[in-house]
Amino acid sequence: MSVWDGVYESRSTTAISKQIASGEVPHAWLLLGPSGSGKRMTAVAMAAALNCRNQPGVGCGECGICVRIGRHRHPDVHHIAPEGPIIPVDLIRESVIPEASRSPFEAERKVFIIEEAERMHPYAQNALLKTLEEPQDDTTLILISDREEELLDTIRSRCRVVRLDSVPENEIVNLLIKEGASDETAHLAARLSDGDVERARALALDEAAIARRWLFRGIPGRLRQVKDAFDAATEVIAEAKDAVKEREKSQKAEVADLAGALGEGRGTASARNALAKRHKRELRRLEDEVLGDALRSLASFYRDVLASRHGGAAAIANLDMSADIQAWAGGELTDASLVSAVERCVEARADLLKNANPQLAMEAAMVELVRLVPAPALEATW
Amino acid sequence: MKFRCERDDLLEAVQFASRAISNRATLPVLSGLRIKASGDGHVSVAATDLELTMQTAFLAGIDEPGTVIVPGRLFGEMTRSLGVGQVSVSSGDAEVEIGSGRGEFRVKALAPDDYPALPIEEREADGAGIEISVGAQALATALYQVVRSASTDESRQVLTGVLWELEAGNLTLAATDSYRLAVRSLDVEGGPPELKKVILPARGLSELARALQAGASSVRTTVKDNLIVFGIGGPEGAGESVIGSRFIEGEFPNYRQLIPSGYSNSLTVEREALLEVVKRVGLLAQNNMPVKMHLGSELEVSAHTPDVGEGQEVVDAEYKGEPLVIAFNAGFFNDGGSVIESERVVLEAGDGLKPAILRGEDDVNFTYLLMPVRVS
Repeated sequence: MSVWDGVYESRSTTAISKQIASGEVPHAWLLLGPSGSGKRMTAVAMAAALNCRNQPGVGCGECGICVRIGRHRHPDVHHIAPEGPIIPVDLIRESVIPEASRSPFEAERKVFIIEEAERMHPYAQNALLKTLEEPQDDTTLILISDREEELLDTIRSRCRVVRLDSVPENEIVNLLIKEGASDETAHLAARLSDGDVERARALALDEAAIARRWLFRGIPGRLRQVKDAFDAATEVIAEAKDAVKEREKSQKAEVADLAGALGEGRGTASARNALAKRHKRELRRLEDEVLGDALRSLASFYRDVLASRHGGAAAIANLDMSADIQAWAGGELTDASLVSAVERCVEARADLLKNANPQLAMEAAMVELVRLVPAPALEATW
Repeated sequence: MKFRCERDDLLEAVQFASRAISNRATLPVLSGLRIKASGDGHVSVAATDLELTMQTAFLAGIDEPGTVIVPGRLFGEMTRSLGVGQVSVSSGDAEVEIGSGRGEFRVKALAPDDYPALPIEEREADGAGIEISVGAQALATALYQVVRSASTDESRQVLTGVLWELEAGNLTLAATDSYRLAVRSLDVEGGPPELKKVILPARGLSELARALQAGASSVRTTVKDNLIVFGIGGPEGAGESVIGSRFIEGEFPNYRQLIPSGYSNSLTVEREALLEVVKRVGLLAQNNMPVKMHLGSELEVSAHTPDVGEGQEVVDAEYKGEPLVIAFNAGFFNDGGSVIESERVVLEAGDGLKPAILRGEDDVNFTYLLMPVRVS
C-alpha cells in the first residue's frame, strides 16, 4: 500500500512521485489540470510522501502520519481553500505567512496546499510571493488550479509547474463500478463528468446530485414560452435553496460541537464569529455550485444536439437523452441559435461568479433560451 | 482508561494545560485536552495550540492505563464544579465519565487518532539537544523586560519573536520592533560550547513568564531541532510541568551592531520620578506627537499637541555632556523605563537623531535602545 494508490497514475504523477522519492524536492509546485483530474489527491499524497517515517519519500499510507494527512488532520499540512468566491489576502496573512515561518510542529516538513489558487485575490497573490520565493528549507507549497491564466506570472514563474490530465472515461467507469454504481449509471456519470472524478462520483452515487440532474435535464424540453422560463428559473433557485438548507443543518451541528468544546463564555466570540463567517461563505459557494450545475447541464444538452446533428452522435454526454437529442437535431433550430444558447449558459455562469443576483441572472438566461432555442412541439419520449 | 485522584490535583493540571487551548484552533481536536494515564501511576494532562504546548502530570490511582481527548473547556468546568474530594475518571468507547461521590457526568470524547503527536514528549527519549538551567524568577523578569519590544507586525515574522542566544554560562534575550530594541543577558548553568541562536514567538513567552511567576525555583530548558522545552518546578518526573514552543525560522537582525559603544552625553535620574513625569507630560503628546527632553543640569520634559494643549515639567538629574534636545514616543520610552530594575536610570544620547540608550545605573545586563523622533 502507498499514499499514491488513490491517485490516477499518469506520466505527470509518476514524475512527481519520483522527484519526491529522490529527496530533491522543489519548494513550490503548481499543479494544473482540469477539475477532477486528481490535483488535490496528488497534493495530499505528496504531503504524506514528504512526511511519512515508515517509507520516507514514498508514503506508506497506513501509519498515523499518512492517515492524518489524508484526513486533513495533520498540524503541519495546511489546507487553504476559498470559502466563498475568493481567497482573501487576510487568509494568506493569517494562515500561511506566520505558519510558514515557524518550525514544523511534529513533522519533517510543513506543507501548504492552496486549492483553487486562481481564486486568490491579486493582493493575496502578492502577499504570497515572498514566501513562495524564499520559503524556509523545511517548507513546501503546493498550489492547485484549473485556470492558470488567472494566476499572476510572478506566481507561476516561482513554481515547478506540473500538468495533470483528465482521468480517462473508462477509468472513471471502473472506479464508479467498484464503488457500487450500476454499469449504466457509471457510464452516464463518467460521460457527464468531463473527466472530473468527483463530479462523476456525485452524479452516480449522491442522491441529492442525482435528483438535481433529473430536474435539470428536463428543462430544455419545457422551455416553450416566457412563462416556462420563469418557472424553470424559480425551480432551479428553489433547488439551490434546498441544498443550502440541508447544509445549514450540518452547520448547526458544527456550531453545537464548537460550543460544547469551547463553552460560550467570554473570549470565545472570535472563534464563533469565524465559524459563522466561514459557514456563510460556504453557503454562498454551495448555491453558486448548484446554479452552475444547472447551467452546465443545459449547455451540455444544446451541445449534444449540435454534435448529434453533425455526425458526432458517439460524443454526446447525455447518454440517457439520446432520443430527445436526435429529435432536436432533426428539428428546425439553426446551428447559430444552438451555439448562442451554449454561450448564454456560459455567460450566465460567469455572471454568477461575479456576484450577480442569482434569481435575475437565472431568469435572464432562461428567457433568452426560450427565444433562442424554444422546445420543439413534440411530446417528450421519456 | 480509568483512574482515581483528588479533585484538586486534577483541577490544577486541567487549568494549567488549558491555557494552551486557543480559541482559534485550526484542527477541531485542538479544542481538547489530552489526558493520559500511564502504568507508572502518573496522569498527564496536555493541550496545544501548535504554537505553545503545555503539559503537566500528577500522581493518581490508575486502574487502567490509556489516553483520551476530552473537550477542554467543558471538562474544566465540570471538574471545577465537582466538590473537593476524590473523583474518578474513566473512558468508554466514545465517552468520558467523571464522577465524585454522588454526581456523575458523561461527555463525548474527541477522536484520539486525530490528536497530533506532541514533540515535547520525545525529550527524554532521544536525549539530544542543548540543556541549560536558569533561575525561574530571573527568567521571568528577563522575559518581562524584552517581550514587550517584539513587533506585532506580521509582515516581518522574525521580529514578532524574541531571539535567544545560548552559550556556555550565558543566555541573552533580544527583541526589537525596529523602533526600539531590548537586550537582556543572564547567567545560566550549562549551555553549548558554541553560540546557538533560536527565535521564539513572543506570544507564547508571555504565557511562559506567567507560569514561571507561579512559584517555580528553576527552569530546565532544552533546545532541540524544532522546539524548545521548558521544564518547570517539581521534582524530576513527578509533578513536573513542561511548556514547549516552536521556533520562528529565519535570520534575526544583527542587533549588536546597532548598539553604540558609548556616548559622551549621559543623564542619571530617579526612575520613578522620571516615569511619572513622562506619563503626565505624555498626556499632552497625542496624535503621535513625541515628548521632548531637554538634557542639562536638570531634565525638562515637554510636550505639545496642536489644538489640544501643552505641558512641561522639570526633574532633578545629574548630567555629563553638552546640552541637548531629544524627543521620544512617550509610550515606548516608558515601556523601557518601567522594566529597568535599578532605582536610578541612565539615559545616554549622541545627538537628537542617533538611537539613545536607557539602562539601569550599575546594571550592565539590560539595555534598551530607543530611536528618537525627529523634531524641527
